[in-house]
Amino acid sequence: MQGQKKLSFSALALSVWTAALAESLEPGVSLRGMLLYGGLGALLLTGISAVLCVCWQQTAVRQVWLFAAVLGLLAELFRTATQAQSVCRQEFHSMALIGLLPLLLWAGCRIPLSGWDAPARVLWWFVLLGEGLCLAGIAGQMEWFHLLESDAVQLARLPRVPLYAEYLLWPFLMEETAPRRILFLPWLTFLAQVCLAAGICLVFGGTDYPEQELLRAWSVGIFSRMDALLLLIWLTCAVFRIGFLCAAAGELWKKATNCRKGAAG
Amino acid sequence: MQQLSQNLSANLAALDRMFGPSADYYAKEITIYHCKAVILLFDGMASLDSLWTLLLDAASRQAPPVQPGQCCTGMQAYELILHDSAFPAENAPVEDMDELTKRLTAGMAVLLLDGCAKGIAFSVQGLKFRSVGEPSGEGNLRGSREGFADLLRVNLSLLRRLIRSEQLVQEAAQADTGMRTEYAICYCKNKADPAMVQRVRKTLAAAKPELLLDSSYFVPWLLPGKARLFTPVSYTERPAVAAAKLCEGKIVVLVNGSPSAMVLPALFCENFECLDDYASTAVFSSFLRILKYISFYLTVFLPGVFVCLAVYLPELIPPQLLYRIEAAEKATPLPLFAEMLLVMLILEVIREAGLRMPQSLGHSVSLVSALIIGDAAIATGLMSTPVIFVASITAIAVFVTPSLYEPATLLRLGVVLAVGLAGPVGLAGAFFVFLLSLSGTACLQVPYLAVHPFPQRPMAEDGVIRRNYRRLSQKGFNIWQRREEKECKGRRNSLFPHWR
Repeated sequence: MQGQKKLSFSALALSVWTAALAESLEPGVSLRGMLLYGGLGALLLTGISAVLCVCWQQTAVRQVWLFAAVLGLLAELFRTATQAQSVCRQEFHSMALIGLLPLLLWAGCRIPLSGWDAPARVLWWFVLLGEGLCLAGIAGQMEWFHLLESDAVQLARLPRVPLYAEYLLWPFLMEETAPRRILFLPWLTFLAQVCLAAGICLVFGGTDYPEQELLRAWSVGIFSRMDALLLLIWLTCAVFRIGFLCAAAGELWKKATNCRKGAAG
Repeated sequence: MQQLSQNLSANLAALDRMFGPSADYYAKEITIYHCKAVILLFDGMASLDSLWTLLLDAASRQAPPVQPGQCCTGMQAYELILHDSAFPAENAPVEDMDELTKRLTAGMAVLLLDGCAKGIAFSVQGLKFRSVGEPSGEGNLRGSREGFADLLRVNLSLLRRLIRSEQLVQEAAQADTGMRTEYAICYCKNKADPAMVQRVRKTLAAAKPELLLDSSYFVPWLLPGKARLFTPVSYTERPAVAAAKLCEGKIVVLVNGSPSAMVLPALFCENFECLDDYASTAVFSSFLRILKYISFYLTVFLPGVFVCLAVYLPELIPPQLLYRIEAAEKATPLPLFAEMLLVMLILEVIREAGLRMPQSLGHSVSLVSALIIGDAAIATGLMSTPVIFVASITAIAVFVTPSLYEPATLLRLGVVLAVGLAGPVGLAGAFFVFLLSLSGTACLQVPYLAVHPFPQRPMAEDGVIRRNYRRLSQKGFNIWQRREEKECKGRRNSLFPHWR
């Protein structure tokens, strides 16, 4: 195994990106609304993340935070597993994820956090490849004038700003190896949401369509439904996220119990 | 450890007890410098011709004058032979039975003198060994045709002939086995990491294999613990390749009796490189490397992906192809997944049979298997043509990277099983297992996979594609750079560099 190193930015970013792609957009929120309020939300979350990373170091409350963090990560894990199972059931007519889940959790417990780094880097390339293909597929269907349509009424609706455990818990997971760009994790979610909203707006002229339709709009010549390919890539990322969150929860649990022992000693 | 006695008869009696019943044990009593002595050797290992030419001729010509009625003592004869004569004797004396056995089994002749508790060894090896021919397992168009032989000393000389520098160190030792097999650790002292060399040295000295017939027997001691798909060591039978690896700072382990040299640590990308790469143009060798990578991924994933698409995601297959697959599948009794598994297993059986059976029968096996797989299976409706086509492509593609044959075969079966049992989720899971097993492998702290698994600057180094050799040579490669890259990666751009 790759020593006792902490995990990297790539792993955390892929985890957040996977969750953000599975997040459904609020219907009726315009692209401009998303840019304005989503950007504001991301800024706010960046600030909160920066403040909390200092607060976490307060030894008095550290143990409580650690136990809370484990619960937060497990909740995220449950959410991702539910989303992945839903995709499997709806798109592939398969319930196999339920059978695979114990194996994934076992792998998550066995593999140290640093072990998730290299797979994340490889998966990022697949994500970029998939997104590039998708963009190439819908490029011909984009109508730029949709961007100029009036959406004054819709501006009043606030987009939902998703909050993921990774935003707040990275100081525990990365500690001294945390790079500066880690603070921009909320912006990654913002970027994913803006890309989805922009795609839906450009192709359909409004944001009242579910994101799945954006995938369905994609067709490349002889291949009838290439969206299954992108869903397969997302599913692989979801498998990664489940294992990664399990490993992260295990790591934080160890830290919390060590902290408790230290306090008792 | 039994020390040699001053009494020649006692030594001979002890040796008779040890080797007396052996047909190849040879002990000839002689008189040298007017002193009783015995020459010991193993028939066929030491050359009697060269021994008598060197020893007896020289002894008769250089016999010291002795007064009538007076003999040389054993010690005097020993001193005369070792220090005051032109005998080609080894510098180190033989003082105990273990050392004596070691020298005799190395093909040397040992002279024991009456009245002296030390023996003198002569290098008169006349061992018969396989010639230095071209290895059959590593084909090359250009470069050296030499391959390692079976004898350790011959192999060491082949390496020394290529690296004519004082930097090459070849440490020989005897393994702790019943057969007392000799092995050697080779490295370049200016390039290899001394701590890692020491670690390998200690590990091999502490290893207790029951038998040591090949360098690969050391792997469980060098890489202890868990089960792994990929082994981060490589093997070569070419001295030129071993020499190139030594110049990259790697450690080569050779074992007596085997032509296979173990190189450690190894990188995943090295499975896609060969000597020819550097002899041809950068563009062509890069093209070949990309082909090799594609072949490897095809061999691992193609059968699984085919089953997954055909069964679970048929919409991803072009309609014309889908109709043909569907028509072929309707004519067979087994489900696609079972059919694919069956064909793959049959191909493995055929490969194993072809490999193990005598060469003269090999052609018959190929013929029969071609008939069974190619014609009979389809004619009887047991298997469909698309499945056989896919399985055949993967079976051929695996031979593009023969060093990855074992993991590729296991992974291929694993992927098909996972897809058959769990569909697309199984495919995603199998891909993930593949990634984790690759990224979780390391040897001597050097990760098997690059720190950045996909090249961030593809032209930066000698990886999936390579620069021309002149530019590569400007910045030499050392394997231990990989470990440093990994260590530095975590320290760069730290938000809280002093946070603990």
